[in-house]
Amino acid sequence: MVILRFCGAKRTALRSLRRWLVLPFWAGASVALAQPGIDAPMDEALARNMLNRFGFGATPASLVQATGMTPRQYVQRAISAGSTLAPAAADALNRLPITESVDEVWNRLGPGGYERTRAVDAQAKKQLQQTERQYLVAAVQARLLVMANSDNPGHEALLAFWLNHFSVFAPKSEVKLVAWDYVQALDRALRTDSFEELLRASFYSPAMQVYLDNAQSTASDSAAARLAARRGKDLGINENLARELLELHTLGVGGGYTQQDVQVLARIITGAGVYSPRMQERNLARAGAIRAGLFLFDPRRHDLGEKRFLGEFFPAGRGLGEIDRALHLMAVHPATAQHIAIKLARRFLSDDPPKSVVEAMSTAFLASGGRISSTLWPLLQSPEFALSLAQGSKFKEPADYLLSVARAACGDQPIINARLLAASLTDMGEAPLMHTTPDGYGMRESDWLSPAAMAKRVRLALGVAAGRVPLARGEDAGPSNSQSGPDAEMDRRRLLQGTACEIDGSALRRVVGPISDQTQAAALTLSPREQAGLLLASPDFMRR
Amino acid sequence: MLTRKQFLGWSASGLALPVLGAWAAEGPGSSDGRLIVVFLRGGLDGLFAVCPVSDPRLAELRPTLSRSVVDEGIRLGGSGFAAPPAFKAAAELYAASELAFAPCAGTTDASRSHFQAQDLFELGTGATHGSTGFMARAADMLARGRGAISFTREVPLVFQGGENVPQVAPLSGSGLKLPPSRLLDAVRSAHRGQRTGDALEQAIATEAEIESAMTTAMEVQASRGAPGAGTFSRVAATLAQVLRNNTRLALAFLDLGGFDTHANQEAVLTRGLGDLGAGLLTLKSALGEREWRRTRVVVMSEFGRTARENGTRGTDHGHGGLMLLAGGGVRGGRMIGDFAGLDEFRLNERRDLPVLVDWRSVLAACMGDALGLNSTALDRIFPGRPGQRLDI
Repeated sequence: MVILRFCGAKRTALRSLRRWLVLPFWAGASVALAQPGIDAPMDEALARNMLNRFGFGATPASLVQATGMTPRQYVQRAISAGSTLAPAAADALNRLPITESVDEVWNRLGPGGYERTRAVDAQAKKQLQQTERQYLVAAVQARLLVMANSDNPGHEALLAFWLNHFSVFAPKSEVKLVAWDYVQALDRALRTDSFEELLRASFYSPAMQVYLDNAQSTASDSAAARLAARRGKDLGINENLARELLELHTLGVGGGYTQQDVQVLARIITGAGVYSPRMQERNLARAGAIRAGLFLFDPRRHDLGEKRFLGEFFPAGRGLGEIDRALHLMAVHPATAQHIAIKLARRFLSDDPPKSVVEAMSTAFLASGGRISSTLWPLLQSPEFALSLAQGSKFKEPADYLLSVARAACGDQPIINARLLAASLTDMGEAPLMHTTPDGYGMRESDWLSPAAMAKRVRLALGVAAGRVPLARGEDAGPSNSQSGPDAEMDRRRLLQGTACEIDGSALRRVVGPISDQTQAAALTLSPREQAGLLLASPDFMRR
Repeated sequence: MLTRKQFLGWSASGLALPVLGAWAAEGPGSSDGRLIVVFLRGGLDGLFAVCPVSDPRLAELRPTLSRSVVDEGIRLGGSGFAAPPAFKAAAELYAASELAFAPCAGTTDASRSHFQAQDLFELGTGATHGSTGFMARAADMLARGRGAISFTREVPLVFQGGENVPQVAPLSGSGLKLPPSRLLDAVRSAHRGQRTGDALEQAIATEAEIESAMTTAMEVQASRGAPGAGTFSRVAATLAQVLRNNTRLALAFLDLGGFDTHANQEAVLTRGLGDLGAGLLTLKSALGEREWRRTRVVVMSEFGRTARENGTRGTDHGHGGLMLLAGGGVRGGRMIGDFAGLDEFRLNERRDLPVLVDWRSVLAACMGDALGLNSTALDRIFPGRPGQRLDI
């Protein structure tokens, strides 16, 4: 009957909602500087809701930490500070091969890399594939370790949003080798609080250049194409990245650009690509190629003609400067403001966000030159946000659900079985860096609520509550390679060996917060352990 | 006197008497058939899958991508088209008069965006936004007791928003197993009356059906030797078994990915088309002759691709594309609609194929034929569909 105590917590939530909505008497004078909603310290109920909405659920320590902060402070910290992990989780992270320098990995295994060139027979090639795969697996696991154990979960939730906005499919060819580099590049850009920096970080990354085929795209009348033609090989334009830059990364479909703009942008970004160790420094220098990390701009592949893009004239022969200019034009375009505003609102407010809020966010985006924080303030200030927080109406995406189950069950014990997290989330369909198409994962209830999804969630919750899911620590395992067949069966069994988190009932109830009468009624005849399972599988806990 | 063409035009504009309208849509087919829609996400290059090898401009537009089909392709009768070696299954079905193809089919999409074009396809209204998909609306028009199934992980847009909720049966992954317990009962009761509860109840109900079908299908598969490498050919036998065991399932949907071939198209599509072809043949044999006759399979993608190959041995986003219609009872061995050739001025925006067959025309004709839906029902499923009526 312990569960009945939650009534009190529900009342607290409503009280804090009232406080958010009602302006104190002195507010009239200072309303432009300090908004009582987003500049008032949060009580525990509000802090819990914020940790659910901008984060992956509360833990006892994160709840204490966020209580007393204002929503503005919480989100500002989420944007500009990174995460610190507890020592055990940090150790697990450092054991993954993500600490190696990406230049070194590329020199070994990238196109023309020395290890790749040496691998000629079938056995060596197979070995090479396994090595490559380790970097992919490591990037996905590292990402999940950080998300699950972060002391600044708002940061990881925002980073997840941007990684999904500029989505790459890490298993594609050499993206595997640079997937973690991509995560870090977007992480650094997020901390500058600038959309344009995020766009630039994504564009100038080897991961995006390879993923959307731009590294191969070559202007048909360029020096490289003419050279290839003499050798009987046709090189030409590939408009994949150009189209997705406009459609997905910036203006959005219906953002007013034309097929002509797509084709011209494809010409503008020719020459952008990735350095390969097979290239000779001398030739690169002579050609005037520009390198930044693994990104390479090679004028020999670039279209040197004049262009007109989004109504602006681009004089002939400006090279890399043209790309910067095009990225800037797209970053500050009003259609981009609208597109980014609606996506942020969909993720952090509701599936169909009210026009007024999106409009205010879009205006703030434009006025601030694309600052992420400025774009989020109108959302945090809106009465709709306060209401939706109190109601917990957003259906959790699989990553939200899995990580919040893990965090709630483990309290503040480190969650270091990254293999299990990755396998579960792959099964649920939302593993980071694994969305095949460049549109990223959906954010709406209709994208995720299905019978299979419910079966998986309930099975996970009941397994965790019964202590059958070793989130705390997995069995130290060799490489896992196979997706099917007898090995996969063995892998699955091995996945379930290890140490589960010890659930502390009262801590769990505190981080879960208030629950509905219907869930309380369903809990009446259950044992305490079963009640924990019900809590994690409850409709209340499936929303944020 | 009214010519047939005039009649069809009038009927489409809503002027014909309802009784005539009904007559026009009810074909000779029975109403207890089924329609399986296979949606290829990513934009299949239709010109590669079923290639106009007789077109004089082919070699110029596609110097590398046309080579193997010209040399080793299998001709589809006297149509001037051929299937590449990897897609020989299509030629086999075509020769058996069980497959027809529309080389210039598609939607009204003008964006060449995957996501917009897929939404257009799935909504079936001609709009890019909306709350119900065309298969959800079709499911609502089915005779009492008949239902629909989606062989996908989630409920796709095509099945969203209707009253007759489809079963969802992912054919890969870990299934739906939830052993009964006191705790599970409590979870069910906590979710009762909510959307999450409906989904949970359905998972529990579907589980038994799928599980039993899986067991039998494994044996079928084993007796046919090793299954193909791709997804579809691997699951086709299970899918057929589920449909055989549940003849009330009149509508089925599944989607396959991996058709966005901007680079190295030949290798990617050799795998993709091999899988699709093997899957169709498995479906046919696992359904058995009688069930195969009741079945219409429509295969389509959100758009076709550029007529000209790009600089990386691939193709970029285009407009009109390939639509396949297969089944034991279809009038196969023929082309549906026109093909205007690859001359530059025949192409859409000098870039890709025009759409000469609206996707809704084929789907509506199949639904009329196999599900016995009359034109009033079809107009509700596809509001704003064009006047074009196809004889399937």
